[in-house]
Amino acid sequence: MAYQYDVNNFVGVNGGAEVIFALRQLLVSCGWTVVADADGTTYSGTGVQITHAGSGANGMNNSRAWFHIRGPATMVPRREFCFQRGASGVAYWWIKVSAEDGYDVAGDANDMPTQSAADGDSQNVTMMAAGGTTNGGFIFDGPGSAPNYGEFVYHIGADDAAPFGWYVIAKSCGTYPSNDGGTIVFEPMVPGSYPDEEPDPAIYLSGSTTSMFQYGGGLGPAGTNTNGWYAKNTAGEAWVNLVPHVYYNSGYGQMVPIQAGTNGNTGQVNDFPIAWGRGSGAGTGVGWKGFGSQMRWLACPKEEGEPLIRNGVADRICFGDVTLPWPAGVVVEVG
Amino acid sequence: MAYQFDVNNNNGANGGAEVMFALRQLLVSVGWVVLADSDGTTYSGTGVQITHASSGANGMNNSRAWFRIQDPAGRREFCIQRGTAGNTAWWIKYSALDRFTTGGDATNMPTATDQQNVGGGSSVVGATIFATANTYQYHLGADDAAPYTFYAFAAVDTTAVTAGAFFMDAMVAGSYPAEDTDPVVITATNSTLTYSSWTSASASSAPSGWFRMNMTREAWVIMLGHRYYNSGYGIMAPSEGTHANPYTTGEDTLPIPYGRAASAGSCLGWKGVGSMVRWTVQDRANMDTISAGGVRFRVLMDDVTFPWPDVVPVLA
Repeated sequence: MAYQYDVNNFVGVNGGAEVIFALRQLLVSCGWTVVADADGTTYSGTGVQITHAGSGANGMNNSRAWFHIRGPATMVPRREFCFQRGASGVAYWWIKVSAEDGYDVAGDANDMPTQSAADGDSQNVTMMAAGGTTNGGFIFDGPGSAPNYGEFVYHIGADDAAPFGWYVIAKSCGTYPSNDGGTIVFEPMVPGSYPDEEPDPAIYLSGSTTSMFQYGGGLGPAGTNTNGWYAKNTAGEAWVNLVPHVYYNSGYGQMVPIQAGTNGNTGQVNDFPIAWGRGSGAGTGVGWKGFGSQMRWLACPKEEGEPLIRNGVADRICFGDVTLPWPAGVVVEVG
Repeated sequence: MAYQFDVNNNNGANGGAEVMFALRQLLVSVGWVVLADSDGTTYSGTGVQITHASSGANGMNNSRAWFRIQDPAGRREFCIQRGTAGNTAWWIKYSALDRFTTGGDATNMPTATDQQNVGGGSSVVGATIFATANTYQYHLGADDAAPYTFYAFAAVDTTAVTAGAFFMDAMVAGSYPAEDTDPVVITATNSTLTYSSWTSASASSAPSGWFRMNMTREAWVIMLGHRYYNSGYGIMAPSEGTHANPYTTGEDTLPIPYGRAASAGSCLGWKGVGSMVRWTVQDRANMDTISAGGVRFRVLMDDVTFPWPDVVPVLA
């Protein structure tokens, strides 16, 4: 069991719809189930309505087209996501996640399902994007969004084994590598790094920024960038901003990300687990979350899209201050 | 295979000599071998001269009394000598590979090609590690399985203020490259085990370890522990507030990343993540224990925690 990939895709006229449809297909290949969907005109209670990324019948690229997808049976908790193409265009998306409760109230041709329980756990996965309505929030640098008008390369990775992390990265062409064309990451915590009582050991992020994976940019410090549950299922539960932490010593400064240098013994570049939580400065919802399982801090600067080669194997890729799983030996397309 | 302990010992008149003798005994019980020793007057090439913690014949608490001890793998060695400055002061030497095979007599420890001083002592005078005798409790732990980490620390009676510490921590398997010949850090210190004092680059008590051992540019250098920090929400660990996870309210500890970042200027790079000593995540009193399922398993001193048996700590 391992990561499955769909990388180096030059996006076509369907922009973000192509990306999200490809994500749906990859997740299904990793054991996820499409519970229901709609192409914006016709609803399917068995999730068979959307069959392609384009517009028109059965297409993902229609205003308010959506699908509801459920994690593999062995996922704990068995999370459910809903993705809807926004009415504002193919660059705009509304993404919802339910960690435990699921979506039990059926949707229709242009509305995603909802939860019947008044205290349901559905949350919008939004970073800098507004999201949260059928207009959607801006994620992908797609058609109509200057300056690149749909020109980006996207990469998707998904783990077909627990804890089933996945990511979507779109990198704009032309201005590559400085511009990011959109990112969505489901980041589970490493087993053992969080207490047994934690019902949803994961971080969720989505958005579009020029420094999506940089500490001080899309990844911390405090803001609304990366979110997850605090004290879920207790009296103080809240959906909060959970931030990554650097490794720092006041004597020698910041170690990671970026300033550790190459490993003294091997000359290679290391990467390191990212510690997530909320320190005292947050004021409320303070506490430890866990170590991330998928994104890792990079030890020293690398070019965007440069592979991380360890012992001759290039099975991770560098974006900003982090590394992510990557198909070994595959050269990234930069557009 | 697990940690063996000798905790809640009321320090007597022999002060640090009692701690070091107890440490010797505990290490022997988990497989270490005393290869040579001296009570400051009589040398033994088989390590049978010191038999008690006190002064006088066969005692540890004599000026320049020393012992050489080797780990169960027959590899790492320490030489530990009571200083001429008294039983608070010690000269501790470490050999990662080459062993202390040269010399040694009634008042002088043997030498090793790769020997390094630990904790500031560099002569028979010694450096202060422990507080004044009869003022503290001391606690020891040693893993009876590879990589044979161990600790000794002392806590002032009643207040539990740190009164000396000496430990060897190994990096977690997988957190360092296979090419690292000696993935451990060692420290001996009279300072508190707070982040600010223990891991300061200027402190002689800061943890040290090998950079590129047995390679070009090898050096014995300070290897600092790093905290987890976010410029928006501040420090997650160690301590400095309440950062416990919301479910177990304070029973967290986090691994300590060791290495040398760019500001060190030389010998830059990652060492590994410590396995025995871990950061606290919440401010608590010294000698508080951390439990799981009602079983105590770690104890807190300043900003760090050590393995601990399921017993109530004695403060005085």
